[in-house]
Amino acid sequence: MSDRPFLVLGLFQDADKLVHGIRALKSTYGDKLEAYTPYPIHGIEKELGIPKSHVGKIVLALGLSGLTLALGFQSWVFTTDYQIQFGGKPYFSWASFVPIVFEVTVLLACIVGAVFGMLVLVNKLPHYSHPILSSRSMPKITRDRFALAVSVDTAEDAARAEAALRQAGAPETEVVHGTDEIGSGPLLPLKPVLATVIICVLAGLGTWHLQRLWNKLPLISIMDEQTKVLPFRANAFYPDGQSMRPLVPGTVSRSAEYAAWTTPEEAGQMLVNPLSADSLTLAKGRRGYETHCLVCHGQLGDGTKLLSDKYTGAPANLHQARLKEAPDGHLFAVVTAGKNTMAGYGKDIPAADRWAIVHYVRVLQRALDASDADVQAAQAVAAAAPVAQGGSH
Amino acid sequence: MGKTMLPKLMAGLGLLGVIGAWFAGDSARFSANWFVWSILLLAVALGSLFIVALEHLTRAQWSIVLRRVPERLSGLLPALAVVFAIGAALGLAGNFGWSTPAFREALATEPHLHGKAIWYSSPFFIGRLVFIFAVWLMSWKLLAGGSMKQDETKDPRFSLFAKRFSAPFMWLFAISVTVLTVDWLMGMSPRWFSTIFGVYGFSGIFLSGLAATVLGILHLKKQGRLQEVRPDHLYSLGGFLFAFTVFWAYIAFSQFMLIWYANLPEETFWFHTRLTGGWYPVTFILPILRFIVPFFALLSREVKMDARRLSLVAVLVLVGQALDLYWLIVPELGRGVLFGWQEVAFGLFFTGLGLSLAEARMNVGKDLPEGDPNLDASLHYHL
Repeated sequence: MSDRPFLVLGLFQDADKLVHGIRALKSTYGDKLEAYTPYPIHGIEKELGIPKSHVGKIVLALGLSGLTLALGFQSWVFTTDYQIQFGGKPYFSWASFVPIVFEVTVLLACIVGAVFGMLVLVNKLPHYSHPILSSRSMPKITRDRFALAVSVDTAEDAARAEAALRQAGAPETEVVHGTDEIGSGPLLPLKPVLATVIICVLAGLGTWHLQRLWNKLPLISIMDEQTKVLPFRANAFYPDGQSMRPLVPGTVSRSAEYAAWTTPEEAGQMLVNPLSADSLTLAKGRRGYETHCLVCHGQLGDGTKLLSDKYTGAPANLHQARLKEAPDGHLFAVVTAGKNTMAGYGKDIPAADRWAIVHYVRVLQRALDASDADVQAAQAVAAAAPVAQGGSH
Repeated sequence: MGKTMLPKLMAGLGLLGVIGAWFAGDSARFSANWFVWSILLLAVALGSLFIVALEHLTRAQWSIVLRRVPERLSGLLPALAVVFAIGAALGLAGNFGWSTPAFREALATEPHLHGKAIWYSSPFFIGRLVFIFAVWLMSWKLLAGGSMKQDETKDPRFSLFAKRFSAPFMWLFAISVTVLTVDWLMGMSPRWFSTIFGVYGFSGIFLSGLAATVLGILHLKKQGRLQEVRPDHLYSLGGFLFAFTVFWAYIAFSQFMLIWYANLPEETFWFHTRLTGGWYPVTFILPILRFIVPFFALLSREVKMDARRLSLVAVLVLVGQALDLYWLIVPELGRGVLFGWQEVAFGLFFTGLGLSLAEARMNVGKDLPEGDPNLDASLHYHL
C-alpha cells in the first residue's frame, strides 16, 4: 500500500454548502474534483463538469438488441425451425411473441445494460477498492456529511488543497493516503468472497436436506384428483360402475369403410377407380407404393423383394398378364384385404390413397415394357409441361 | 392579437360546417362525430381533475406550483355538460349507440343480452349519465373551487380536506369513468364486451389530462406567466406522460391479445371490423401514434425538459386520443372509414371551442395556488 497523499476530503454540512464549495474550487482544481454524498444530488454532475453518462445509450442499445433478438428468434423457431400449430393460429403470430419480446427487452436493458453498465462505468469495475473506503470520514459521508474530494499527488499539494477546502467552507478536512491502481489492494476482497462461499455451501446443504424431507411429504396431486370421467376407471356415477359408456346399439363408426364385395373378382366387377390419373394422384400413389408396397413388390413392381432371402414368401410380379388385365377394383380389393401371406392394408392406408396406388401400379405396368409410341408421348408431355413431373419428388 | 383570435375563428368556421352537417341529414354520422370530439374534451377535463385529486391524495409537493393549470382545465366540465346535453338531445333520438333500432332489437330478441337490456333501459341510462356528471361537477367545485378560495383565506385546513376528499373521489372517479367508457364507447355495439375496457378508457383520459396540462403550462410560460415552473417540474410531468404512454400500450395490447388468443366469435368480431377494409390502416397507425413515437420521443431527458419538444409530444398525445376515440366509435356505424368535410368541420369546431374555453379558463384565479401551505417546497423542488 503506497503511502503518498491521494485525496483531500472536505466535509460540508449540507448539499447547498457542498455546491458552493464546488463553485469556489472549480477554477483552481477543475477535473480533480469529485463529490461523495449520502444520497444522489441531481444536477451535481453539471457543477462538477462530469460529462453525461453513457449508461442511457447502452441501455437503449441493449434494449433494442433484446427486442430484435427475441422477435427474430421466435420468428425463426415458429416459422422455420420447429413449426407447431397453436390454437389454429398462423405460424407467424406476432401477438403471441410480444410478452417474451417485452421480457427479453427489459431483461437486457435493465440487468445487462443498466447493472453491468453501472458496474463498469460508474463503479469502474476492475477497481474493486478505493482509498476513500478506508478513510476516517467514510462513516460520516454515508450518514450526514457531504464530501468534496480533491485529487492530489504530493504533501505540498495536500496542504494547499486542505487550506482551499477550509476557505471554501468545509469545517473538517482529511488527507487520504493510498492509490487506486489496479492490484494495489489484496487480490480479492476476502470477506465478500468468503461470505459468498459460506452462503453457497449453506444453501447447498439446506437444499440437500430439504429434498430428502420432501420425498417423505405427500405429492401435490391437485391435478390428478379432478372430478371428471377418466377412461378405463371405476366410476360410481354410473349404475354399472364403469366410467366408459357402451356404444348405443346400431352405432356406425364415421371412419368405417362399407364394403359390398367379398372377393377381389367381385370387387373388380363392382368398383370403379374414382380418381383420375393426374400428376398429383400419381405422386400420391407413388409415395404410397414406395412406403407400403416397395419392400416386397420391388421398385419396378416385378416382385424382386428388398427383404432378405430368409423371408421365404414370393411376392407377386405385378407385370404378369393376369394382373395387367384385372380391373382396378380387383387390385384395390387385394390392397385392402390382402391375399395369401400379404396382409390387408385397409386399416393403414385411406381408401383414396389405395386408389392412387392402383393408378401408380398401372403406370409401372405400362412403363416396364413401354412402346416407342409411349416414350414419344411421355417426352412430348414432359417438354410441354415440365411441372407435370410432379410424381418424381 | 391575430394568434389569440385563431381558436375563435376555427370554432366559427367549424360551426358553419357543423350546421351544414346537421342539415346534410346524416344524423348517425353527425352524432358519432359529436361524441368523438365531446368525449375528447371531456377526457381533457376529467384527466385534469384526476391529476388534481391524485396530487392531493398523495400530498405531492412538486406539483403544487403547476396545480392551478389542471384545476383551471377541469373547469371545462360545466361547459362540457352543456355540450354533452346538446349531443344527447340531438343524437340520442334513435341514431346513436344504444338508442339505435338495431341495438334495441338485438337487446329485445337475443336472450343472452337480457341483462344488458336492463342496463340500457332509457331511465337508467340517462339517470346514471346525470349522476356521473353531478359527481364530476361537485368534485370540481370542491377541489378546484376550494383551492381558489384558499388563495384568499390562506386556510391550511382546505389542504387537509382536499386530501381526505380525494380518497373517496378515486372510487367515484373509477366508477364514473367506467360508466362513461362502457356506455358511450363499448355501448356502441350491443354484443361486444371487454372487462378491461374501463381501464383502457382511463389510460386515455389520464394521458389527455397530462398532455393538456403540459400545453397549458407552456402556453402560460410563453406569455411570461408561471415562470416558477422550471425544467424540473416539466421533467416530472414528462415522466408521467411517458409512464402512461406505456400503460396505454400495455392495456391496449392486453385487451387485444387475450381476445385474439381466445378467438371467441362473440369477442373477436369487434377487432375483425377494425382489422379489415379501410379500418386496417387506421388500426395500424394508432399504436404508432399513441405508443411508438411518444415512447421514443420521451425516452430522452432533454425532451422532457425542453418546452418546444415536450409540447410537440403533448399535441401528439391529444391527436392520438382523438384518433383513438374515432377508432372506437365510428367503425360501429358499419359504414367503413368516414372522413370528409363533416369530420374536418367537427375537428375545427371542437378544437377551436376547446382552445377558446381553455384560453378563457387560464385567466381564472391566480396563476399559483398561493394559499397552499406547501407552495414553498414546490417552488424549490429539485429533481
